[in-house]
Amino acid sequence: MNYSNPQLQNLLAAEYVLGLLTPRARRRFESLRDAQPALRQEQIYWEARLAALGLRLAQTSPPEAVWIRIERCITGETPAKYVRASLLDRIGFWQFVAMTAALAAITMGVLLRQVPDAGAMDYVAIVQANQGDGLWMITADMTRRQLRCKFMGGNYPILDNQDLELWLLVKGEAAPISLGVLPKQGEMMMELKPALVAKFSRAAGLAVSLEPAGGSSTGAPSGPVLFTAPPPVKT
Amino acid sequence: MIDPELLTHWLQASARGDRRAFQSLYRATSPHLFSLLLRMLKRRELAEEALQDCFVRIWQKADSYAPDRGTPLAWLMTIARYRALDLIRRKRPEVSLENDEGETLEVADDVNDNGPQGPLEASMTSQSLAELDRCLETLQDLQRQSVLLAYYEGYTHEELAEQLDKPLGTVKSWVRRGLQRLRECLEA
Repeated sequence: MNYSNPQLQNLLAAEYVLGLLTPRARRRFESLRDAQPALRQEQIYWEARLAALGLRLAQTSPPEAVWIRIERCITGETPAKYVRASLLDRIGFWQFVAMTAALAAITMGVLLRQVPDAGAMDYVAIVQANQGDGLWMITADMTRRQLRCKFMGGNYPILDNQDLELWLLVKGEAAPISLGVLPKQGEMMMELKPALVAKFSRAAGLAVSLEPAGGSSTGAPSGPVLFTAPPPVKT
Repeated sequence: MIDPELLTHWLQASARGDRRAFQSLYRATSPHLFSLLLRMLKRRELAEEALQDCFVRIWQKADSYAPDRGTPLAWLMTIARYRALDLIRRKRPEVSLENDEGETLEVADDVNDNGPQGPLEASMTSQSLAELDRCLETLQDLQRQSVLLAYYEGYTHEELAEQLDKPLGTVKSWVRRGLQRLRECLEA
């Protein structure tokens, strides 16, 4: 094969990904690829495209023993650092604020993680009650001053005439600030006013309250706080 | 429930040592990886072992995933497939190709017989799946069969030639034309 022909090189990438090549041809492709970023892109192209062939197979759940063995292998490496927040169901919002220290108590699995590659000025949080419950991903783009709340799935039993409202708790400020109503489906974008942008760096936590449709009309939570999350993390 | 963004989130959290996120990732994606490993390796205990290897590796190299690698699920599937190819290549000399004969020409039917699809495919891959299917349809039967045999069985050119009882040069050139056509269709 004429290895200097780009079209043939691209086909070579496909043959490599499929596993058609002999060991010798494989090694030749690998050295070509290591020298040429475009060829590496071509390899990734085929890997991503052909993965669809694997995904069309009916799913098969592996036995639990496999996970137990995996867990054993990875234990002892980096410890888990996830944060859980407490369930503050049916208690008043102001009690919640006073109880911020109880965030570490465990009932609601609220997972909060940084997304390092999401852009230099962003914040991110994941808001969820129990596993399997409704889950929202909250991202704040400080450059474009946009807040995005994306519903990722799960159940959350509320009535048609009710909404869940997201609140930002700010250190040194008594009143929570509404970040808007969580979308029941899809995602919701909201403009962040300049005054609010500054508050993200002083956030003490997030909370979700049950409100009448459209959200609280008073500017403060009017219904019970259903669950809480640690503050959005800067990425 | 699961979309690529969430999988990416779990991968990135795993890279920082978050075992809970890693477990979520495993629960959501292992049934896909396991199916592929079973299909390629045929033997359950081999597939289970390979799945374990894959996820230990994913845990260790979760930080090497970047969005330009394709969707997180495609990246995970690629790791699984390369692991299976490694194992197949290692044991190949002992395997009699005749043993697989009854199965080889059924590949296309087999994979079209989709099982129940989870929300994972529905949300993120149904489009790319349909597109790939459509483009595979534009290939000649033997071209399509060769691609599928290579993907699911891990056959090399030589093994394809043997399986299809055609000269090596002929097989190489029709596979190449098939891939070329597939590429053009996917790009169209």
